[in-house]
Amino acid sequence: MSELRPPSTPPSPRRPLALRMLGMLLLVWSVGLVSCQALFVL
Amino acid sequence: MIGRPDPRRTRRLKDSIPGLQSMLGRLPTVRTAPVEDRLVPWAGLEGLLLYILPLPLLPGAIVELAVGRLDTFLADSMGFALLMAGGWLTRRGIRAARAEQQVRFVRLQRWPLKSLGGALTAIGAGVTAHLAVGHGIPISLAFAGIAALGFHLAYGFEPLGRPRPFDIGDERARQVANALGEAEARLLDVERSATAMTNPELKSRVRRISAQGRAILDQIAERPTDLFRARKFLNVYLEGVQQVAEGYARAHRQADSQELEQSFRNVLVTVEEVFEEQRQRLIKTDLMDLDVQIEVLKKQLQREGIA
Repeated sequence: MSELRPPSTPPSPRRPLALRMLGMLLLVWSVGLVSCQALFVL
Repeated sequence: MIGRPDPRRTRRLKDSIPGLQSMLGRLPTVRTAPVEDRLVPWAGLEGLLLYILPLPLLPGAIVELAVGRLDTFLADSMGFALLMAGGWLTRRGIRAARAEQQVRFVRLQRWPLKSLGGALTAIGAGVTAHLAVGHGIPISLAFAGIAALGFHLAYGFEPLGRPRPFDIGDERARQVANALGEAEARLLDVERSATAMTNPELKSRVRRISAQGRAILDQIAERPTDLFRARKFLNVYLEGVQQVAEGYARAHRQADSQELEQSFRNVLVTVEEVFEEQRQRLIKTDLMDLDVQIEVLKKQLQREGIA
């Protein structure tokens, strides 16, 4: 039986903090904004 | 396949390690929090934003229902459900990705959970914008697009077509892969127990045992035929170590007893010796095989008049 060598699992590259913060800001802007709009469009 | 250990062999292990019998008798096994949550203290917080952002939809839906507007109530509820499901999948995906960095043989959830979570988040934003707020389709699509972009930057979509953990062509290779996966899961449990221990000496002993165990698994992976030689190690000792480590970690939180600590130390010393012995035995087999190969080569050379 040949060698069983699983591919090593390198840690997934993390984005720089600034980009992650920008991503969260965009999420707040889209998801947070529509949620609040839905609340105030009563 | 390792499966459940043979009780007769487990009994032998209990007899052979001083103190193990009494510890196992005293301490039943329990499952605790996932290992990755214990190793990284802030791990539980990542992705929480996705649960917080849709919260305004909940009072919105309740008020809509109270004033009798069923269509907007359904729109709010649908948006809320989509976004919450997206957050849930994303957090599970983040957890699975973190666990994957610690394991080599355990076969993990292969669904791209984070990507599914991101897709639901984007769809949820678009649906909420269109149905609950009343934006037109282009603006709703823009909201979905911005949500997807934000998700990608903040958490990242997983690459498509991730590699399989093993190249398992035949049935025997699959059996070895499964056995290694189960053994590694036990070692992960042992490592998790080590994080809960306060005594630095015992903690480092447990971690050393776990590292020895991983070295043995690596050796088996390099030469899967060793699995059959290492079966006792996989079946009996790993299970014993897992039970004792979990039991000790739990018991010393409840009561700090010198006697318990000492018997745990005795168990660990014996287990360390057994693991080292097992590793040496596998290495010796390698060397024996090499000797045989050299002998065969020598004879061949003599036969051909070269040596």
